[in-house]
Amino acid sequence: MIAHRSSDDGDAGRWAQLEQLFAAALDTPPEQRDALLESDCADVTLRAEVRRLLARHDVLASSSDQSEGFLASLDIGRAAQLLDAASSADTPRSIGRYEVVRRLGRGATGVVYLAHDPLLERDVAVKLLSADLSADHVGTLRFEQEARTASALDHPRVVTIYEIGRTDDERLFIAMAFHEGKTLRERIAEGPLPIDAAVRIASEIAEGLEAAHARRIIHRDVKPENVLLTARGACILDFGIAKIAGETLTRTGAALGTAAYMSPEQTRGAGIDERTDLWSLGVVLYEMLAGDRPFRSAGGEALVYAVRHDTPLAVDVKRPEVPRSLAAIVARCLEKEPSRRYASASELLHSLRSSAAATPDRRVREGRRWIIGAMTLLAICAAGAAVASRRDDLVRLTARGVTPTLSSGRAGSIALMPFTSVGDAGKHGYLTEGMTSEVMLQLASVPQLRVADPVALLIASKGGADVRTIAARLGTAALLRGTVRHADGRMLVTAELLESEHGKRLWSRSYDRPSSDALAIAEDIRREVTTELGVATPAQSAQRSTARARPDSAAYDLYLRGRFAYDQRTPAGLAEAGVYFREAIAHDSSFARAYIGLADVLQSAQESRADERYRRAKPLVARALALDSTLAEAHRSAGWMAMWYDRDWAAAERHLRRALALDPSNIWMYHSLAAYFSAVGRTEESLALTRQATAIDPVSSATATHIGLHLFWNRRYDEAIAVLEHALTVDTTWKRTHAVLGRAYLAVGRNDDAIRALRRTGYEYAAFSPEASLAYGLGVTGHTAEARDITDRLEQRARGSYVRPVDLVAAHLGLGDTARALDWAERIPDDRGSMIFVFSEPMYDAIRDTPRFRRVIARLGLPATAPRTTAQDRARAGVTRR
Amino acid sequence: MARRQLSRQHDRYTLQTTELVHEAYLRLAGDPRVTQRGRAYFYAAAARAMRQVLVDAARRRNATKRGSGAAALSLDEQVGTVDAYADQLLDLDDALRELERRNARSARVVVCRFFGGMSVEDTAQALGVSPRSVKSDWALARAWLYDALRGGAG
Repeated sequence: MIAHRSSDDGDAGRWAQLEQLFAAALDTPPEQRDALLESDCADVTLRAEVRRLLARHDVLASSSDQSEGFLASLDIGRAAQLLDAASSADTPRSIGRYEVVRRLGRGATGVVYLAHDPLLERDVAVKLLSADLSADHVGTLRFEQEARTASALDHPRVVTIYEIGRTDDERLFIAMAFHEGKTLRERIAEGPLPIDAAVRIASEIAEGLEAAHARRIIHRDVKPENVLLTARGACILDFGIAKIAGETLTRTGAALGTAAYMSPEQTRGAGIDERTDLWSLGVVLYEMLAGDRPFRSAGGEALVYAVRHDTPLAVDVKRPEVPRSLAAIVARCLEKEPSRRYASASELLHSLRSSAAATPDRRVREGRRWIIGAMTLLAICAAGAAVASRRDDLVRLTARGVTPTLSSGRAGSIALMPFTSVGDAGKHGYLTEGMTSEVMLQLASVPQLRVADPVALLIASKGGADVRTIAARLGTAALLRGTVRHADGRMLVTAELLESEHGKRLWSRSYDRPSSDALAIAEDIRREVTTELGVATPAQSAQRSTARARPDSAAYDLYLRGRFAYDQRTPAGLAEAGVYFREAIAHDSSFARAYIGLADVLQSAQESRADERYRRAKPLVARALALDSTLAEAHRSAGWMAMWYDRDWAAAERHLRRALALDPSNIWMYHSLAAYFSAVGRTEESLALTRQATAIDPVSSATATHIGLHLFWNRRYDEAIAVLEHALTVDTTWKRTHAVLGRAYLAVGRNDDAIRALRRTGYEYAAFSPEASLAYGLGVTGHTAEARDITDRLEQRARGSYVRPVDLVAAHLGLGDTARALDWAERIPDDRGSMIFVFSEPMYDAIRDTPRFRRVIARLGLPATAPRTTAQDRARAGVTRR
Repeated sequence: MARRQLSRQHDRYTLQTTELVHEAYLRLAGDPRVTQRGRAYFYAAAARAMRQVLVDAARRRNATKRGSGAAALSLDEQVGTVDAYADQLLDLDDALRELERRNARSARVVVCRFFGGMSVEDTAQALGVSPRSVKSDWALARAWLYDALRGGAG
């Protein structure tokens, strides 16, 4: 037991003093501490306390056995034992006549055990109701009644109840048939199910409900935890118990668990009938297909509100292969009004069976919709193979990439945990990140290797989760992790590969190298990992990287710092990046990547005129290409500049395609080429390419925003909104997301949301400044005064300094002033770096067909009409004016 | 065989806590307002939950130890360690609560770092303070707790 201090110590002022003295003392050499305390502290007891704490601190700081590991970390092993011991202690030896073998699981109402029936010599599952439930006699009487009725249910889809009884110490139990198998919850945790499996399971549940409803028994608690997947198919558990348990629990004040499967009428506690079960089944079916639930609010009131009022996203929007008819079935189950749902389980069953019979071709129907689901985007197929050219293959590849099925190819799958810094990480964090990126890049370039999504991984790995849990959650065969320690320009990198089945270490290595050797280390890790996992490596990329000269270590270090700063996406970061890249070049004038880094910085600076930026960046890119014609990013930069500044579309396409071919695992190559396609009006190709990108890259806000942008440009507004909203759940600070989202909201008429989003834009959206975007949004939604204010301000500024013509075009279009808009549009061809996504940008619909605008397009070297854009697409465009 | 059983127990535990963590995350993830910072809060919440879970288990273990002889399914040779660990945790919890009375922030740092295994940066984010103050809180809190667990005022 600890010694409690006297109560008059409790005041905050004293602690503050303690803190101060302690910190001050730590800063002084030990031999002077006493003197310090004497002078700074009059209070004798306080002084003594500080001295004592200092002594303790010193003990801890040294590495004597006595104190080693004090509060260092939670001993997971022993904690595990404790938890287990604690629960085992509660495990009874027998329940009724049944002999307990082991615990199977725990639910809201009680614990389930596997037990043996010595009389009938069979295994049974026994649910022991919790003490509070058992003690409520009113409830349990009715419970026994209900359970008796339920036990009369003898149907293959319902878990048979054998006995209801009480133990010697008055605990209520239910003995039922034991089935080997996992719960639907466990199955869903592995990922969305194949469509036919989901339909089959739903049908089986419906069959069980049909039988129960025929006997006027309503389940009331249909959810994946209550569905067992056995060899004979799905089985429903816990019939009728929820009702009694629910009443009891609300009486005793406990919560019944998640409301996610409750029907609206259930949340109100009234008007419940058989159709309540059909709602819940709808939620389950949705979850099986989409991988997450239709109502995803943070629980409690928000969730109840959502259940009662929100319309969930259609399943076939979340997952394109789901047939429309099946999505309609789900939607009907989720009708708020019971009278609008299926009238009976039989009806639902009939529909499900018809749907199963009419399953369309598995391949994604051409050009259909999709969305990144919250947890579904787990697999990244490094589909480096099929690049750019074959569209059908692209689409098919993407479909596979977006909705992973774990049943296939688990063998070549890996989860890469971010490398962690050991020791003083502070100044060297960028190196550790660099190491992680390099390894990620290397692994992603292996076609047969499936790499798991880092975001999902980060979640799965917190809270002390072990390898097996993480891997099971992500469906990977192996997990790679490592540490990096830095000292004086050198790195000590350790990496280990663990297999998921047992957490066994397959391979590990330590590298003691100069910090500039990250690439070499990453390559080595890739080689070893792919060998261990039995996955073939492409000889091509190995060849390419060895051909590239290794840069000077100081230069490389500066380069990495520059990249890190650049990635911050802030003006300060940009400035810093510029300094680093310049220094890198100063150290090593043949370091091609540094030139590109600097070129990128120069092109990002928004304050200077476009042609200024171009003038300065162009020679850098040319030099980089001259130094290394196989550098993908050099081609990307070259293509980008050809597009934005020279408007040399042919050269742009050439360079951007080459960039993609050289580095098919790099997301930016996709986005750049896609932007090109959008610029020249080849919108279908841009969309196809963007889709393929999602199969490659982990979902970062940046990626999601680009995808949202391309969807927006392809007039697929609802999907764009869905993707962008999801991007915000990952990171609300990526301002560009708001810009695109704002435009998308405008397109569907959600004007208030649009304005709100546009106000939050801090970064430019596809060539429009935040102000211009906002002005446009305000204008078209009728906020004329404010729109005019901004527009006037821009005009004013344009008289004195540089304002991009496109911004003024946007501002004037918002106010409906097409004449003025065209005035500015005519200045675009002369303004380098003013990109005008002529065909893609919906706001130009108002002026696209005017002679003046057509002349602008011609001057830009673009064809008169967009290739392949259909009239229907154009008709679908436009913004609703108030 | 003991080893295998132990690791099975270990997995069930980690499954429990990850489920705990996962469930909480799902709830948070459903909230569109969650940001990077929010994630740090989440981990801090998970750490608090972890503390509760363990302390509850320790109490239950203590209770059964003193109470009727329930079926002990744990391995005999491990019993001693488990009981000792349970006691240690309860002592730590008591001391932590004492610390909370004096300086809530330091106690929160301890919960984040010890029960949550959070880094200094994450802890700083979660508590809305600078990493430096986390480090100094940690140093003092550790010394204080160490002191409390070894008898306190001498």
